[in-house]
Amino acid sequence: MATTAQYPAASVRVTRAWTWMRVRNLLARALAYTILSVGAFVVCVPWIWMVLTSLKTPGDILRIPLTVFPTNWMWKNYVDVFAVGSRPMWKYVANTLQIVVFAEIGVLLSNAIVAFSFARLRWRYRDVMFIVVLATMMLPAQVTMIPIFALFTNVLDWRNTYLPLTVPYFFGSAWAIFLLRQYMMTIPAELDDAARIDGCSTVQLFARIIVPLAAPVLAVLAIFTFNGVWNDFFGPLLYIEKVTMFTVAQWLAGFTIVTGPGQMPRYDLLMAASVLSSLPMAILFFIFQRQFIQGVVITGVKG
Amino acid sequence: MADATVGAVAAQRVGARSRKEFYRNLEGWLWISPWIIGVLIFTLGPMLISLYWSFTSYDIVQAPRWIGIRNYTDMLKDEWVRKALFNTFYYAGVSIPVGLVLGLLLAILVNQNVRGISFWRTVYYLPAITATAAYAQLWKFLLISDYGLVNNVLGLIGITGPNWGAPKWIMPAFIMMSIWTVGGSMIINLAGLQSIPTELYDAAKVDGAAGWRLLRHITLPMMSPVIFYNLVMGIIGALQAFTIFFIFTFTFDYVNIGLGETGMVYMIYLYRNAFFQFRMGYGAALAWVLFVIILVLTLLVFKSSSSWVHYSGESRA
Repeated sequence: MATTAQYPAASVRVTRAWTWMRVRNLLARALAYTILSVGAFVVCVPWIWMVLTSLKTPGDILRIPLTVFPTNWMWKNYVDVFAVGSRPMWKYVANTLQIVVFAEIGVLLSNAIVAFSFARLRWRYRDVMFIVVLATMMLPAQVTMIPIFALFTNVLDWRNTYLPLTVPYFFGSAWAIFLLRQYMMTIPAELDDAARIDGCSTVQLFARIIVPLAAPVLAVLAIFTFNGVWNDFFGPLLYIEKVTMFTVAQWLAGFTIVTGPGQMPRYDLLMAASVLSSLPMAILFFIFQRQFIQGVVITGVKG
Repeated sequence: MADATVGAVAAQRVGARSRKEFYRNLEGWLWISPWIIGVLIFTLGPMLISLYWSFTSYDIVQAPRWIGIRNYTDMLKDEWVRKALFNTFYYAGVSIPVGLVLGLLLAILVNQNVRGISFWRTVYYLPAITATAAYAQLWKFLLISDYGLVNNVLGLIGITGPNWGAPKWIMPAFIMMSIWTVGGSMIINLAGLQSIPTELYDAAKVDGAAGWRLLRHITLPMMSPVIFYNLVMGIIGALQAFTIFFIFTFTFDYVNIGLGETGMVYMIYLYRNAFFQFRMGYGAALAWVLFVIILVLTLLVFKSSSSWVHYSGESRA
């Protein structure tokens, strides 16, 4: 709320209004705080409940009326779910990280290369092609997925490998190209000229000058790629059938099965696994909050 | 003589220049070649193939057999398509507007000079950074009838919670879940709000405007491009919703995923046909119909946008 003090020339009428406005402002802010707090509480309760449940014993969880706090704080649940048993979580984390590593290499390399050409090289039809790239964002993924599935499983026989989940990342994607290109455009053109005069080749210009300067936006892209791979459920569902090759998302989705058919799901372990699987993204969010929010704002990908 | 030499040198230069230009163009195209290859293999090629398959009967083992528009006429008779469409529109029709209003309201509140913007932003964004599978499992757990948290809290205030898995209640449950992640659109709205020039508000206040009128005549028009963007993304996202529905209805009974539930949405039905029963032709037809639906809705929103979306810098008659 800009104060009326900024307009001293606006005479007495404004000064009189000042007290009324101040009361109103105070009331408005109190109301804002109240609504925000209630909303925040409602939003946080499921999360808090997830953490509390992960620390309870199965007996605590099934007791009615519900108890809020665990009678015994079962920190051991986290160790159990992560490391113990025939299907410990760390195996699925390792599987997922394999995919993450290759996806990151593919995404960063391919999109940086393509965006570099659009942002820093001059060639015929460049701007037309860029519009074509943007237009492909409209093309429907749900329509292409059936033939792509047939290609990967029937033609290439890549079922139960991580290839269908990583190879497509090596060909760039329209929104990432757009994101990187917009950023690379802001790097001063004089740098290119200076580098050329010093005898830099195009590859050197790309690797030594543009990529290092584009590091912040590459970080945004890397974070979003991580989130995408970590959360992807549909891809693994189509291509990975071997339980030992499951990703974290798949393993977690089928948790009731994983603990053994016919049994009551171990909700304590399930919730511990849920907390653990959300942890990487939460940590990334807290470290890179600013870049993260920028990325959300630019791309509209809501995490 | 001298003239001829100059001419030859010039011609040579022109040749050199055009060769140089050729290499420069070639270089540009080479650098974007990963994308060109990718688009051909993973987008344009598959689009044409799936369009062809949508007119065939194809089970991935035997070659596609041309059956004309029968897949499409079958869809008209398929009661599951009708149910899936109804459920999908029910979900989208409630969750999108509620999400838009709530996302904007929260952003406006946080923007009211309250302290600790980054605190509120983080808290409300927390659900959006929950791993998708964890989010589905968590809600599945919270919504268990007898010892789930939701029904027990409702019990405290004297309401007997429903069986959330029942046909009547499963869609409200999914809508509730989608509203939990409203933080994502709140962040986008907040960025939009903060880019509105404060001079606009100052000027309006000098003119005696306050409260509702500021919201109605400055905030909403200035925010309309952001609302428009959230609306389009919301339509695309909600009509293609899959993962939470899948995990929620995931049982030992693999065959009946989503079936018999009112939670059967369009993408689940598509998945069932194409990737479970390997009715690829029918699946392709389902996919094209979904695409056309999304396209038509998006175009309608675009078309309507000229009457309600305000871009600053653009004069309106």
